[in-house]
Amino acid sequence: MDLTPDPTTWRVLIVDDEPDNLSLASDFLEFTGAATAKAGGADEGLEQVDLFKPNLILLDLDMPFVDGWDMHRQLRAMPNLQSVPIVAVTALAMPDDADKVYAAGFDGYITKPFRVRELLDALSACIETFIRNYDWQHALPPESHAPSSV
Amino acid sequence: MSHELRTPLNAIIGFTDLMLTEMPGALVEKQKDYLKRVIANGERLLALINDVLDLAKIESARVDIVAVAFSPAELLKATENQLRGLADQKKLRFDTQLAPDLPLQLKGDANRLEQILVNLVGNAIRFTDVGNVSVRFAKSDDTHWILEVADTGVGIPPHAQEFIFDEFRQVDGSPQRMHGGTGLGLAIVRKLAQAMGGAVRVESEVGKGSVFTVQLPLVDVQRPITEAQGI
Repeated sequence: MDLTPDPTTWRVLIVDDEPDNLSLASDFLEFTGAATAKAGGADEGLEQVDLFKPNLILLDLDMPFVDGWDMHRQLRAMPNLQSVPIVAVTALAMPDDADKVYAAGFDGYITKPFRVRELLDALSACIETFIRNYDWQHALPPESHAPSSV
Repeated sequence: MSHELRTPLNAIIGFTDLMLTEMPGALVEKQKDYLKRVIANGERLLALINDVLDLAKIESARVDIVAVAFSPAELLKATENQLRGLADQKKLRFDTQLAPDLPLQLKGDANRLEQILVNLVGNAIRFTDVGNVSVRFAKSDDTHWILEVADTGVGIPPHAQEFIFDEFRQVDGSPQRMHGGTGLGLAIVRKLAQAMGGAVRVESEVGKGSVFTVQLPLVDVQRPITEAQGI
């Protein structure tokens, strides 16, 4: 896995229906040395998965049409995305929301509004956990998991 | 509506924050100072929007008060986790106390109870410069429980004790800016307490401190429902 907690190793796909949210996260992450791609909705996001080949996905939960929950299910069904952490970004902030997000299988959770430094710290922490759990769950490196279908 | 109000404000705070990292370019001190003020005011406005929307929701009775089992100890812990830092900053002692006869589990709306406590404790810390803030969870009678927040702060004169639960009313027009807060905290506390079938009252002496007491009907999980409901 080429992904580490260091942002210069990140290829982040950011999916959010608010153009300002996209620019904010994308500009900031580019400043930290990450490569980013932006998508304004689930369709565009799924396209970018093939084109940009992200190793990290930031997904807004409250999007019109196909929301982040649905898109997450579609992404998780793709075998070649098993080694890509998906982090939920949401304005929901009730105490049990975090539980719902983790129960749905997201790898991380950050609530809006966030300070840009908090975003960086949250993503690094999430990647650290993801890598630790990934190595534990998979005896074989991710490359050996040939995609069976898409 | 909340989404429509918060989204532009989040962008204002977010891009200001990004400028302040100086990643897009170096700033002179004056510019940093002004940008910090944009953020501070943005956050004040955001807190106000959250409180106004919450109050409107409670008033229109659109708020669902749930009754699920929760642990009083965890409720106090969660409140402490949110506010311990603020008390430490002001070098105030902060303690929480569970009455020994309190059951391990009660049935009620733990999230809303936490909101009540966070508002009351936040106020207590804001209006106290020396001494301590304490929270107590105790039994009132077989079906009622009290949450008590006491401080050694500035206190509230008798005439003001009538209106501090009104919206945007602070004692003698004391500067909201000096104390922080949105001016809606106590209004929210009262409405929530009422929505849960309870009430809130204050006892206070100027220069000595204040005690806010919320009395609520909550169900003891251990007791049979019929017995617990009988008054």
